[in-house]
Amino acid sequence: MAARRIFRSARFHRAILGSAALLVPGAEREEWFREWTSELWYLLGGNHRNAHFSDLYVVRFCLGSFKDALWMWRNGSNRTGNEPIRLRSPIRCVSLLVAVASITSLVALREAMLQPPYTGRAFLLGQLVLIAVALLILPSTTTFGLGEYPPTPHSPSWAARPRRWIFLLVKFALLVPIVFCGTLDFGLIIASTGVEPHAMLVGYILAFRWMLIDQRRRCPVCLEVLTGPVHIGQSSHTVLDWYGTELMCRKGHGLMHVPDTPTCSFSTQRWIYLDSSWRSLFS
Amino acid sequence: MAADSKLTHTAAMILQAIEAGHVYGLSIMEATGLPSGTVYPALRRFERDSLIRSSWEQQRVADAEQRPVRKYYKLTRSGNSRLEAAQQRYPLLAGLVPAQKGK
Repeated sequence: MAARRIFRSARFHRAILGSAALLVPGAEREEWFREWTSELWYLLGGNHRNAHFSDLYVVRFCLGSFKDALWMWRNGSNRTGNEPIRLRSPIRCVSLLVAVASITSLVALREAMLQPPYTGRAFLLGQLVLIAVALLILPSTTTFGLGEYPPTPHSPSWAARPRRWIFLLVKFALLVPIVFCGTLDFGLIIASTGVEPHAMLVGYILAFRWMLIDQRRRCPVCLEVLTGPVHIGQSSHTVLDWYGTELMCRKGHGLMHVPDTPTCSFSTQRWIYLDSSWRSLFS
Repeated sequence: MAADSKLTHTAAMILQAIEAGHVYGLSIMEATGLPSGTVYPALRRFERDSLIRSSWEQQRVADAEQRPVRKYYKLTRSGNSRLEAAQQRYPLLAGLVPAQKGK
């Protein structure tokens, strides 16, 4: 009876929509929520309950909002625009990772968890095997490819080019202790010692996946997160042209073209370097 | 060119429903029998691909009737040509989706 009352409660329905709205990019959230709550109002028959729709139908309608919100999250017009400011800059991103790595390591050290059996050659070897397994599973969740960066006269100098790879290596080097110590801390919190290997494997996969996705959405010159996504073309253009999303570096270093459907002529995202004459448009 | 690209049956049903005068999400759901989790993401995708365009009704109209404003969807020219191609591919499509009363 109580469950039925909850199912009929407008607050419950709005709570479902509100939870789903959290997935929608900030700039589109208000309009998205407005449409869903408006439709919900009509579904419920305004101020008088509409007997035409059952309680279950209304709840199902609200739960469907999660699918819509997920679509918005994946395809929203400002997907990278709502990137937390702290992660946009490479220095801030690394600083945040250093801070998280320090905290998780300190907690693990304080709880004396970095002692046998969590040390020693056999354990280290086990960690390497776990990382290798995670790297083997990783391609099933995201591609290893970081995109094409065809060299042009406006490409950065040879000395500046390794910065992108150094940044990737630094992230990798910081994510390993974060996952390792974080998992030990997690085991401590849930008072369990049996979950660590499984949690570590999942943690490594998720962390490496984020590392690659984050690397792909950064400018190869300044390493800032790309912004201003614009959808270009239509699926019917596939044969003669590409269609997908164009992102730009806010400092005017170039544009990234990400195809919606990879084709043999445009199989992965492609970076276009802009010369300095474009900079005035971005300043 | 646009008309050559094929729509799935579900997508064609949603476009057909809009063409038949079901111009908001709930009405499309009722006409097609599809759940909200299918209809709304499809509407977003169609709008992104310029097959439909959306517009909010005027606030004063809704205020006068003491109800919230609704978001309406309309087929674009590109959407119409895609639907015509789909109708040739799925000849029974029009019969599956009832026309909105008054249409």
